[in-house]
Amino acid sequence: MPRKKISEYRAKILIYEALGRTYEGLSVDLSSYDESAIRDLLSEAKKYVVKVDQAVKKRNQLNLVSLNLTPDAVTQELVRLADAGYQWGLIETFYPHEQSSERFVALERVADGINLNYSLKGGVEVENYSDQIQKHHIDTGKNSELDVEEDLRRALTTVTKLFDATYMTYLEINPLIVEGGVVVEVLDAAVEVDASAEFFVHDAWSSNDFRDPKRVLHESEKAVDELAASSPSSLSLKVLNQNGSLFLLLSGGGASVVIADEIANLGHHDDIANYGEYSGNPTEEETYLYTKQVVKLLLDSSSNKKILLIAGGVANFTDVAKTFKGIMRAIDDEKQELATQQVEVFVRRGGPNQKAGLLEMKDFLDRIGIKNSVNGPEMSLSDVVQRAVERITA
Amino acid sequence: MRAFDYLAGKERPSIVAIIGVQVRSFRYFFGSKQVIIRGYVSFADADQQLLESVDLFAIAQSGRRVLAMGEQALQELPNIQGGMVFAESVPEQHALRLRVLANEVGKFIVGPASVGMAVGGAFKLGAIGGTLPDQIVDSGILQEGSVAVISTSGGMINELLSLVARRGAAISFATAVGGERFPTTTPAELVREAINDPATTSMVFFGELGGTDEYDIAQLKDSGTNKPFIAYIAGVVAEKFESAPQFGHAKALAQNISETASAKKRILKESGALVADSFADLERLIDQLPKDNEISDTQTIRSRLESMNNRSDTLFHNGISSDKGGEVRILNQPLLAYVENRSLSEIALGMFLGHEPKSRKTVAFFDLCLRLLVDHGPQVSGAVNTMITARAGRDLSAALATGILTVGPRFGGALNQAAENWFEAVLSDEDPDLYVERFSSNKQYIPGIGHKKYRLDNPDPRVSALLKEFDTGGAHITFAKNVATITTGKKAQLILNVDGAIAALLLDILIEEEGYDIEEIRSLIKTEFCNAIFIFARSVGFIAHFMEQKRLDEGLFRLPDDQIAA
Repeated sequence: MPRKKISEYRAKILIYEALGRTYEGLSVDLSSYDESAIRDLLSEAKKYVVKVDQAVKKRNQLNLVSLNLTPDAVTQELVRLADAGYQWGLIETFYPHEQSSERFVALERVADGINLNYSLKGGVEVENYSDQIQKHHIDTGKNSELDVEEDLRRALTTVTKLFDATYMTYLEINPLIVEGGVVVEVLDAAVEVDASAEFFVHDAWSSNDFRDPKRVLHESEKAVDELAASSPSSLSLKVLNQNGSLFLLLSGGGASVVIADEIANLGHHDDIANYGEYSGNPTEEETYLYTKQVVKLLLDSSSNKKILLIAGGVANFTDVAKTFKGIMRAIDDEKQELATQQVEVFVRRGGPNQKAGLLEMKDFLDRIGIKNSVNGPEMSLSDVVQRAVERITA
Repeated sequence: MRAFDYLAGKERPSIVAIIGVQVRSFRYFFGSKQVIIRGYVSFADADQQLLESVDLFAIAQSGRRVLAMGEQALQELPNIQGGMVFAESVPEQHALRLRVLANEVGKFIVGPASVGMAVGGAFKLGAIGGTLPDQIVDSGILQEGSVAVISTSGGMINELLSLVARRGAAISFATAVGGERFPTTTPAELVREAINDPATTSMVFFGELGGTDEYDIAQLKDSGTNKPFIAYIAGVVAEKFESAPQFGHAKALAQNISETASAKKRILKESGALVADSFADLERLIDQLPKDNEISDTQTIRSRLESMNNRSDTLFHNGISSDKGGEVRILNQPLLAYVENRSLSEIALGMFLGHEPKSRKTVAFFDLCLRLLVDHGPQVSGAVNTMITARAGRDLSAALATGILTVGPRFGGALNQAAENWFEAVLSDEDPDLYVERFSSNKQYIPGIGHKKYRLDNPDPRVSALLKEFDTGGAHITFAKNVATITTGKKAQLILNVDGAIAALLLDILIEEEGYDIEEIRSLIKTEFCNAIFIFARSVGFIAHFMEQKRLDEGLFRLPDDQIAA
């Protein structure tokens, strides 16, 4: 499982708790929130900050952070962000400070420990002062020996411990406010965790805290994400171009990239409708449900030439005949529409029970009257891609 | 792995045991025959000799258990050289910890998320090269060759293997690094192995965007080797999109420009590697590799393949004895050698347990039980039935069978039930009072308690003999005696009887002397081991009663009229 970004809200709860303090920000689900309940928590005597909390990079430039807001302005800002299609917002008390008190701290997990980057010139323009960033390496299990104020060093040691204990892979605090040698506030924080470790962090964070910068997931992406969450096999789907021509039903993390590469090499990456893959011997039912989503994308595309490319390398243990059964069932559900749209199917696959799987696939496609080319490992990955691409340019 | 071993001409599968399973033995095909592979709950369960024989391991458990299992494998297997981890989703820190642990002891671990490794013609560890026999033949890994294949993708390694094989070359070794961010053995470490390996004359590498492994490889290549290095780096497609999705594996996301596929291809090219611009180009480069000798023994492999397609389940598995070409073996030892210096009871004990007993005390106990149970007067129902059958003119087998068929819950058969009850009660730490209450509230007899003839003031001398010699205060006999103290307080006849005493003492001896664990005890009880003791011993008594009736030849027995109540 890849690294995942968690909400700033969750990240700050963890950081403040580690530093012996309590975080008082408010997380708001912009798709459903009770405005009056939020107003009750805000004080007219205070000023607030509202920001989007879903792992969006360069929030300041994108105008997704608003400072020094009255409670009225806070509610207006929430409406604005919701209208812009964001789901997660964060409300914090505004903390006025000198720019000179802004520091930059980043921790990154590397093979032999943690890389610690630190700059006296933090804030939104940290990149303009990249020569000021001090780079330190902390060996696994050691403490940082950065030459900074006593209180800051203590805080860094604490945060580094937290970083290890909660399986973080990246942590950035920018700015960290240090006044008179004392760490006073963590203003912006971004944390990425190792999603595989959810079991080991005892609710410090969970998959509910994962945030995606994309505003709205495509329906099919959501469906496949849900399918993947309940399966030991690997299933993924990303929509790249809703009106593309090349619909990919690929297997294998490596082979799927090779096939996408080959399409890109031929200059047709813009025709790729979707990228994704299934691997790790999914069941027939899982393959069926996965294929249904790809077929749905295909039928919904406005392109006038559509190709379904069912391809993969020579599998080690994924059963070709079994997974093909699921694929055929999904195609069968929509055979009329697929034929009407004159969709062509290209197949290239090897692995356990390939002979039976390929034969059945060929028979099936012929029977339902879909133009096809079904091949085993004797056809190279490049060739099948080339032939499929030729058809959309024909 | 079994298919590979068989096709490669090995005599036995290289898998010797499966750890972390409840099942004690697995029946698998090896060629067209079936073999048994032992299963153990944990390393502690397996015997030392077996652990010492292991040199490679494969971890097939889920991601979260990989670190614990890997740690144990490195600790518990004294002659281990290395292993592989199949699971995906192993936490990064666990993979890194495993790397440190393996390095400390100078072993290698391939993975996580790896389909394993293979050495041409020698071994296959994991799913690499396929799981079905014809796939394995096609993958070419049965042949010894000179091309090292290293891939970060498990699916693609098989694609590369079949490419190499179809073009007439063969592998020296092949390793799937695994698609995770921190592989326990890095691609650069494997390339260094290949450079130093005298059997390897060229290398094929499949890498992906993300990570910086290719920079380390370029450095190795720079440091001077003449061996051709063919590389394909997947993921240039990601550079075509402004915000690219995660392509493929966990690490396949370029964090910065130096981790893009293009940048890594460039650095490898600069180091003198043959970098493929497309997959078609890769095929062309592999085509140019020197051909290895044709598989010399295609015929043998074909015939082995055929015999594998000709499988049927064997009807039985038997480890007690064998007769192969006139050589009879008991517990895998030649009959004559086995019976020499062993009494009949010791031989029976070994055969009943399915293995030789470890302790002399177990042998002595088993022997005493047999002697004490040999007979208990002609009045007991089994003996009566035997005698009646003998007098009806039937033969030995009929008379003995009648006697044995009488053995059941009320006669002789309480031993097994008593053993099961004592064992589960002690295991769950049940209070003896509650134990007694449980039975009496259901109006049930307690197996192993009570006798028609013996009482508190007239104890069973057999029980006294057993306790005198074998009661060392073990948990089960103590529990049984505590139960008897309570029951005899209610009724003087409710003493610990010979069944109850044997059952309790047997459990203590199996645990203390033979080192049996919970599951082993349970499975022994299921085999009716305790009933076997009784039936074996009492058969002697029944046979004797039959023979005596034959000698006396008193004619058909008929129950006198006055013995039937109207």
